[in-house]
Amino acid sequence: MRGTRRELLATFLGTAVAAGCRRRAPEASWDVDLAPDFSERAHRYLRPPASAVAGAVTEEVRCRVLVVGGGVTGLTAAWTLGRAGQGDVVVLELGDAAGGTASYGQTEASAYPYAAHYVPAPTDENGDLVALLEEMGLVEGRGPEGIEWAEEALCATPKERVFHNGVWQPGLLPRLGETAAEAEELARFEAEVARWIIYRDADGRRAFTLPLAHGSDAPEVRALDELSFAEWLDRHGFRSPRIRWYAEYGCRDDFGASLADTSAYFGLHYLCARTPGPEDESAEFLTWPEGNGRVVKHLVSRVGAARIRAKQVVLQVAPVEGGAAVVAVDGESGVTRRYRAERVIFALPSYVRRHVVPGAPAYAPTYAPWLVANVHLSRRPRYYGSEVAWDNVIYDSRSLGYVVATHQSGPRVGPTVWTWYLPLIGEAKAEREKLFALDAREASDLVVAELDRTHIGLQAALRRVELRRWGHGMVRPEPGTRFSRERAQAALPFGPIHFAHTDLSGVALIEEAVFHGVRAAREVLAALGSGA
Amino acid sequence: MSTEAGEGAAAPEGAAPEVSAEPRPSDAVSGPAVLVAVFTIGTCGLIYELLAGTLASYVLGDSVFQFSTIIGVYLFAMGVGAWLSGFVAKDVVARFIEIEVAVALVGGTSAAVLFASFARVSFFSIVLYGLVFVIGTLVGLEIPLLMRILKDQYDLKDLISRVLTVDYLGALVASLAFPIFVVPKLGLVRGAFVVGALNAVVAVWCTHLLKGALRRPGRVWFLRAEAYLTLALLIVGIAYSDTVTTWSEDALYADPVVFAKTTPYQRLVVTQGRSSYQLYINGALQLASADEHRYHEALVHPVMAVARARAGGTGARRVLVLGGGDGLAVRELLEHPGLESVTLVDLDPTMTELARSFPLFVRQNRGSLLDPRVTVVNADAFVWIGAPERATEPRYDAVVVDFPDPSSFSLGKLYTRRFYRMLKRVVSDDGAVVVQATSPMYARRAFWCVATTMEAAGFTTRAYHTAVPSFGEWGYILAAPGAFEVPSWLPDAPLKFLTPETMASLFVLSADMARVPAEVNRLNNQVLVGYHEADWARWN
Ligand SMILES: Cc1cc2nc3c(=O)[nH]c(=O)nc-3n(C[C@H](O)[C@H](O)[C@H](O)COP(=O)(O)OP(=O)(O)OC[C@H]3O[C@@H](n4cnc5c(N)ncnc54)[C@H](O)[C@@H]3O)c2cc1C
Repeated sequence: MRGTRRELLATFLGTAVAAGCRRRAPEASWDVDLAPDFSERAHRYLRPPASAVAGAVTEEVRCRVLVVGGGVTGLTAAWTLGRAGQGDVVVLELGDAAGGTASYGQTEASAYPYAAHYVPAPTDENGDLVALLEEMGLVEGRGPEGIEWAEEALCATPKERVFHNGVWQPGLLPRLGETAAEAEELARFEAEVARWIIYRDADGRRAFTLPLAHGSDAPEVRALDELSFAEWLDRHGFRSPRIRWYAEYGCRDDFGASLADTSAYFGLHYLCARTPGPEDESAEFLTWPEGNGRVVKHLVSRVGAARIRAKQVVLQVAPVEGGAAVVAVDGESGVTRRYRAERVIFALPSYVRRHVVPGAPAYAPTYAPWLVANVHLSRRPRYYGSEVAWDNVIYDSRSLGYVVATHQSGPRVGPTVWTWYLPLIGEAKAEREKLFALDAREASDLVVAELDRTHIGLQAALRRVELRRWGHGMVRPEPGTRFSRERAQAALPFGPIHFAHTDLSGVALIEEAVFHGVRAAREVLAALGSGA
Repeated sequence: MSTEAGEGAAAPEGAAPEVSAEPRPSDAVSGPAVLVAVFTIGTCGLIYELLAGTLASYVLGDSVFQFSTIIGVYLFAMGVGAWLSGFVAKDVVARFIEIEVAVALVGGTSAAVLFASFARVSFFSIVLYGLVFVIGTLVGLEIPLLMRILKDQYDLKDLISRVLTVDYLGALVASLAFPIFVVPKLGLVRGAFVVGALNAVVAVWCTHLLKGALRRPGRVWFLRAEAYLTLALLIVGIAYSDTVTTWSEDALYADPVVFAKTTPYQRLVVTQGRSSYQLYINGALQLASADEHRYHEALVHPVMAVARARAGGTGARRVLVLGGGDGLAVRELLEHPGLESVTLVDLDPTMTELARSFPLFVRQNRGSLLDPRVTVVNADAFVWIGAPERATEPRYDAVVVDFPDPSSFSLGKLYTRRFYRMLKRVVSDDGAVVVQATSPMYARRAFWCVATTMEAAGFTTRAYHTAVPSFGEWGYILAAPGAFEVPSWLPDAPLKFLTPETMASLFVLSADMARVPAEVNRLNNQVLVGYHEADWARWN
């Protein structure tokens, strides 16, 4: 990136942040780490024709089921197989450890997430996810109001605050300076959302469910998927900047997408799916210092670390006589191995299919790039306004703000880690290029300028900024995604290869990751059962 | 930001009868210049609201509830202002200028007034909301009046859109200027004076700009004098802002400050009067040496007696104190002969160091923290009690929990079911626990919420109270993993307050402190902070 710091800030975070940034304090200093992107590891090997690499195979490995990809989906698939007694499973993962977009880091001060940081507490309708969380010891009992979750895992109050007009304000929607007209429009907006929460189709199905697959496909629900959320808001006359902001915040947060690029179906899904009734609160969040890394830790311990092979670049997956063959190269030693399995669960993002599974139906949705920074602080900076919360949202920035890793169980003073999120919601390819053109210093400047503007004495407390770029961080649920035939077909098995990844739902959510992991594992179990 | 006030204003205006005797203001008025005034008004109005919100959170601590109330009051007041504008029938221009002056005066001095009046806690809320209401009303009056002044200048549609756009722009500038300039560069008190002065300058300017539109142009000198006077006052305010700030902070404390330090954890202030000294944490009184013995004897001896009774007559040997960094609870503990060790966990090293070496404190706690049986740990109790090491250490026979009141969420965490569950794991099965639980009278629901929460964590509880003149009626929850009787045993030590008879009487609660239902305080709801704030608000 060229240009001044102010231009950089304006490009990535918007003009308000650029205008408000302070100078770098001369005496302040901190380390910056820009983590290598694992896709570089993959590209190195994927670029030469796969057949050339395949020719270099030096080792053969056999197992009954091979899981390709060690994100939540792949791990859940392996976990499901293990629970059903199928233990002859190997998981291949590109990264230095399993986890994918739910990986985590750890310092003396705290564990912290590299991307996914919470699980919305599911209801018993989502039995598979509940079973996983129950196995983690998170269910204390069941009462009249449903599942009683372990208190320490439920996001502690205060859950969120928002920086607007120079002050931190409680809640997500800033109310200070609100006009009566805006308040009225908000009430109308909430009523419209409530209408969709209580909606039931002729078969009694809700419009929005988790997993998605259980939801209604009635014509009026389908119609929502045909327009963008921006169009939907226009049609209903929701013009207040605050409501537009609120609606777009949800799209940026959950999908890395703008209002214009989000299907109205998914815009409403975000607002409705986790709220049982119009009078109810939205589901609480389960969260841990390491975010969804806690789920990954559990899955890894159940699957068995020995079954998971990290730093493996999967190059090719192909049906062969009696099963499937997978070629993978060890990213460290360069050794190329061929795996023979009866069944393969392909739990990589769908866009790599084209390179890795020749002949399978293609599916290449759009993915939002993300920049995530873990900001390591030696102490807590001060601020004006409402008490620091778990999620600290910044209203007039393109970033989402930050989440505090020590919020749940850490000390209320002293060192901490903040995880700061920036979804790049513009045209995906251009944004990706912009993101990867950033050097470490520039990327850290973005975070620091923004947090400095919203706190007092941040620079003096700052020790390290650790940055992660997620080139294909989240699949974007663009209009047409929910009822896309292409998407439905992409989830069907291709011979002995079973597909599973959250992007097969058109959204990146742990509920969907678990759903597809379990589904694919069940398909495999059924096939193995009948084949044996 | 005053969009609604503006639109709302159009209606009463339309209904108001035309006063033909008045000069037609707009003939003599430059439209664009007046729009500049609108712009300033928009900017200043929002800044006052932001100042009040920020200041409230600054002096009252992290307050969720204050914030929304301020917004509500301000919005309501703007509506009232717009409505009132309908009653301004005569000499709109003069009224407008006067309102402008009034906004400058009230808004400009608001931060100083709030700071200063905070010391007189008994009516602070009234001052805070009163000021917000007055400013909101005045700001709400301005735009409709201006619309009327300008109404012949533009046609109505155009007028509304212009005024609202300019007003909106003003608000936008405010939202940028406030965080970037006003707060960091000027501070709250000076910032308010500066913004007020700006308002006053606009008022002065308006006396020139709108002179020709006045019903009695001869009286312009009067308006001008008002505006200049206000401006002068505010400029003096700007010059003396620092003095105002220090003076109002000093006024917080009745006695001279002998020690003050802002640690990374809290602000500690010690004041000394003729016969007593006081410790304040974040502006809240923590102890007064004149009557702290009542508080600490009542805190410590009952739990020690229960632990003794439950252990079949053996006194507690291992005792844990959470909070209580002043060493006064430990002083009482050391009166118990069988005591072998005390672990004191307090967040703030400055506090425990003060207790060990500040002569006033050492005299008061009789050097308790220097006793070889005492180990001081500086850690966050929530983290310390949940640490895995706790599971392997021997349990405690008695635990004294003496945290500040749950006035913020970070303190509220220390009163949750989760915390008490962890606490239960470090208490021996025949041990006992006591928790300072705020006032059963001033914060009755909060007090009983602590009991309810401890019960939800598996404790059996008994509530008791004592009168501490500096604080008022104060309360504690005594608890144990199993049943226990009201204690009556006291150590053979020269106590100033407790006798076996008084001890029994502490467990008798009058009707106005009797149990009320309350929700369990959980990490994910933190209801206690809300109860505490709401309950105390009724007494302030
Ligand atoms: C910044 C960010 C924040 C998020 N926050 C949340 C949140 O708070 N809550 C939530 O529910 N969801 C969140 N998500 C969505 C999250 O992606 C899903 O919840 C879930 O973790 C997806 O898991 P997955 O296994 O389907 O996909 P992935 O995590 O993408 O897993 C795919 C795995 O395949 C590996 N891989 C790729 N190519 C190869 C190859 N050639 N060879 C071998 N391995 C390969 C990858 O390294 C990766 O581990 C977030 C996503 C991002 C990017």
